[in-house]
Amino acid sequence: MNHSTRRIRPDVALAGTTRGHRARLVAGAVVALSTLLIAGCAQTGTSGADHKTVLKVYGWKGGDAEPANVKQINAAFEKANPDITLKYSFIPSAAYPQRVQSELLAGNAADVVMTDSAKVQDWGSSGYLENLSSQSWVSGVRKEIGPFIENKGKTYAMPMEIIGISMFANNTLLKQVGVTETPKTWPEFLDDLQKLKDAGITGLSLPNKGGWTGDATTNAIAATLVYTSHPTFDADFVKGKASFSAWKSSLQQLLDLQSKGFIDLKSELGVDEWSTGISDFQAGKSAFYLQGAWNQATFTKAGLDDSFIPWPASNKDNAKANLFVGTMLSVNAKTKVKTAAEKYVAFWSENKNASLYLQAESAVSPFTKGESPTGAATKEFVAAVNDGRYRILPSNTWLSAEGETTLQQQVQALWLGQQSIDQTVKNLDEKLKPTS
Amino acid sequence: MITRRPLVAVAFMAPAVALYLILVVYPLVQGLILSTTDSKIGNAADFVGLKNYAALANDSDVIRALGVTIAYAVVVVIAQNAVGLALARALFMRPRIRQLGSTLILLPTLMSAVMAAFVWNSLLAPDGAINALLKALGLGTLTHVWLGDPSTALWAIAVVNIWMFAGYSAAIFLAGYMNLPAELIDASSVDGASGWRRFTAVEWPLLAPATTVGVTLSLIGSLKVFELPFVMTNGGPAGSTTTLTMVIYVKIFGGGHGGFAYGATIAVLLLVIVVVFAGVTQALLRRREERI
Amino acid sequence: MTNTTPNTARPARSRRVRRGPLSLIGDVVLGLVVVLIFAPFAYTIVTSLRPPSDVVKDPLGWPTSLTIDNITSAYSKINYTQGLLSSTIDLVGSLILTIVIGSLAAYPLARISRSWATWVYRIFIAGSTVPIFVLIAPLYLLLRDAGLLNSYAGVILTYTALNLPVAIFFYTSFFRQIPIELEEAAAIDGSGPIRTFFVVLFPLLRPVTATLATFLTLAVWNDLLVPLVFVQDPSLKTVMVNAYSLVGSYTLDPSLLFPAALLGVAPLLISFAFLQRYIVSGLTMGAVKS
Repeated sequence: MNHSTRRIRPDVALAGTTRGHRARLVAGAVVALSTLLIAGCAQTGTSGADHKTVLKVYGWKGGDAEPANVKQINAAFEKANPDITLKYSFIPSAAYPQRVQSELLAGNAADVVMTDSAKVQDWGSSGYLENLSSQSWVSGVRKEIGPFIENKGKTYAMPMEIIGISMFANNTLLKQVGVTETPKTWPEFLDDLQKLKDAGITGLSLPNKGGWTGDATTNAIAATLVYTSHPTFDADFVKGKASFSAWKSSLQQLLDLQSKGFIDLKSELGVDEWSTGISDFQAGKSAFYLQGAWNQATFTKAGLDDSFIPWPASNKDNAKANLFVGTMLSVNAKTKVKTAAEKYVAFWSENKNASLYLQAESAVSPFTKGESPTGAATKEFVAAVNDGRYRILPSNTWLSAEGETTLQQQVQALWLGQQSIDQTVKNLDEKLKPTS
Repeated sequence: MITRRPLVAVAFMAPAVALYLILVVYPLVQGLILSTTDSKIGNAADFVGLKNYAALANDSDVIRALGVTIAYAVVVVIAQNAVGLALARALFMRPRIRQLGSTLILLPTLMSAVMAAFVWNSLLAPDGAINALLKALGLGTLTHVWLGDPSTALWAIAVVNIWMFAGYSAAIFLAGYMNLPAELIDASSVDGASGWRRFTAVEWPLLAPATTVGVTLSLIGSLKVFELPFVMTNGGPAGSTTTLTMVIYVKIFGGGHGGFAYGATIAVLLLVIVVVFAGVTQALLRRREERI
Repeated sequence: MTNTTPNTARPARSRRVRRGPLSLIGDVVLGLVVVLIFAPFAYTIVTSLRPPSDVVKDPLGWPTSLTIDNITSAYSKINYTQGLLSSTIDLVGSLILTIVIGSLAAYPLARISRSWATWVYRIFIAGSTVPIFVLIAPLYLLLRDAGLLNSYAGVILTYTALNLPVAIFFYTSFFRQIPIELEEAAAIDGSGPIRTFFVVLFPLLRPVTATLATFLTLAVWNDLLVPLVFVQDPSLKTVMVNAYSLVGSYTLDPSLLFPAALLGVAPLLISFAFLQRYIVSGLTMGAVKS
């Protein structure tokens, strides 16, 4: 009989020595059960030893990819407070809301949690954050930033930074075409782009596959074209007293750039802004690029000679800087070590500590008497902020994560030619208005 | 015989069912209850009845996401299983490379969506390798802005999905092949049946259980798809690749004005759709299994 | 439709089937397809071995110089051995538990055609449709109340529960393929359901168990969410969680992430390579002695 085609005879199968196999199964089950038992006893709970207060902090900065000097600042805190043991946990931002929100609901989150304007609204209004209105640093926060750290008039977070989202310029490429100064007005910008085009260099790259660049650029343009004449646009829109028709000229600018042949918007929709886009600019493939100031550290490390400037949207030299309220620190309402937690937060508000963070992030201090770094990347922006020539992205009202998604999709539809500017602003008015 | 010993049957099922009820069904029911409230981040909130469900019908974003999700699932299930089946058969017929081959095609599943997106972003970029290849082959007119054009973006993601999981489908069909009775394959080849004939008359019917498993799993997986469109196109361009699960995610973790309850509502909608689709598919496939 | 000879369930080995010239074309096509599928993965390996500045300048380029610095640096950053231990414990525990209780449950589900069995099956489908982030908050509270947070037991039980539907689908479908005559014969021999299950039926489904184990391994080993949310203690963190902590909030640096991720999956690759042989030999041993 062919060796490989044995039929099973059920009687044989039963009697046959699958005994060995059965023994293995039993052994397997025993292993499983013991694993569970041992694992169940492997509860690890840490309690502070020798009467030191243990302070737990969560943040999405400070990991290996974005160290942001967090470790140094934490070390300085421990040195200044020998009675406190600090346990800082880096949680990747993708998992941050899921983990921390669950823990807040369950009541066992860390004592201090990193937050942002959206989380202040969500968690503050639900009572999970400590009211910090009476803290000493509150009065030093810039007036415009107040609404981002407050919910219903109570302060729930200490802002760590305001960070620019604006135009990077590759100085080396500009020098190649004889441009020695970065453009400050729209006509200058067009002029520079023309020179670059004539020399065969890609002038502007705005990779927008994920929608972020389109949204960010539109906002950077609007910072000047909308908010100069209408600085209270955000509050008015939320009250129903303003319309996105004020944004038509901002949306138009990019379409104008396309019709002048400086950029192909449809093609830009196929390029990823977070990987290809950044590395392309770093490799010197285009002269102008829009991203967040936090990229400066990467660009500097790569040896790029660049500047970071407000988008020169108007004919006059009065471009407004486009800024975003970044990370903040909040205290868990259920913390058992309130004093230590508040000390930690206050520590971060002090200039000598905060400036390390701001340096790494290329950000501006949110405090009126704050110390901002003076590198090439922040020079223009710090000057603009001190002059009051700036605007903050309304991430606490209509530009929440959901609002961002809406704006991103609308801008993409516009760039695809699927809808007109009029239709776009109409959609924005309708979809972004607050529902409750 | 287990069919005659209902108590034993229940005992066999008890551990799995108990664990599942506690850790999955119970949270699911809680989510269901929350969908009838106005909970913002998942905390206890006020009852609002079926208001969220009524809002669904008028929500154009949800309806479009529904269409996107179903279209995606149909294409992926058919194509992925077809490719998987072809690979499985080819590997089954070549026992010497079967081991190596089945390991190699499972490698894409070891990459996370984030890594895969990184690689494919470069390949699919307007000046990327795919377009370059097309131009080199003289097919320049076929170049597209793959991930930036609403008419191609979803299908580009589908291709990546199929690339990642064809190995999975192949593994399932291969398990099916390995379970086939020896004599049948022998007999039919002795009979001189051609490859295609052998396939349709002998193999395909006997692969029914594998087909059921493969189709069910890929159907559920593709209806639930989230990570790939999220990291590859973020639901764009202009919402053309936004799937239902992405809408749920934005609602729950969107921040600012959390809509956990509404997100849970959409999750219930998704659940109903999957159960219906899976149920219909199962019934069709089961009837086929019984006939065979 | 003719009910052909009962499936003797003797797993089919390779058949010496006649292969015409078409099979040569088949070989080429197969080779091409496998290469295409494997290529992007090969790319991540190559990228990990190139200096970061090269990668930025020319991501898809042919490597001009190779370095293992990325890999050694990743190794030191991600607490490798401890992460490996955690991942392994989570994996082995989940595998054994899922396979055992999943196959046990699938057996009656496969045989009994009463409506209550169908409903149980449907519940498993329904549960598998919900994206996990909807379940996370209530599940978290549940685990906390049960004292299972921050423990291997909690993670293993969670993985098992989440992956039971897959195991149920697999086993239910394939159990049905086993002819009822086998069970009847066993019953005549005086074998109870338990003995029948362990001695006769389960061994017959070795290819299925092997495939299922592969799937479960991929699902559990690569999962990031469960260990991130349900575990606070760093010593319980899995190797993949540690690897992905190298991803920034906005950008992805392949020279940081790829080596770490590859280190993370390397143990899987090595295990597959060894276990494949074991599985295949298990198949050929079969359930028979004659």
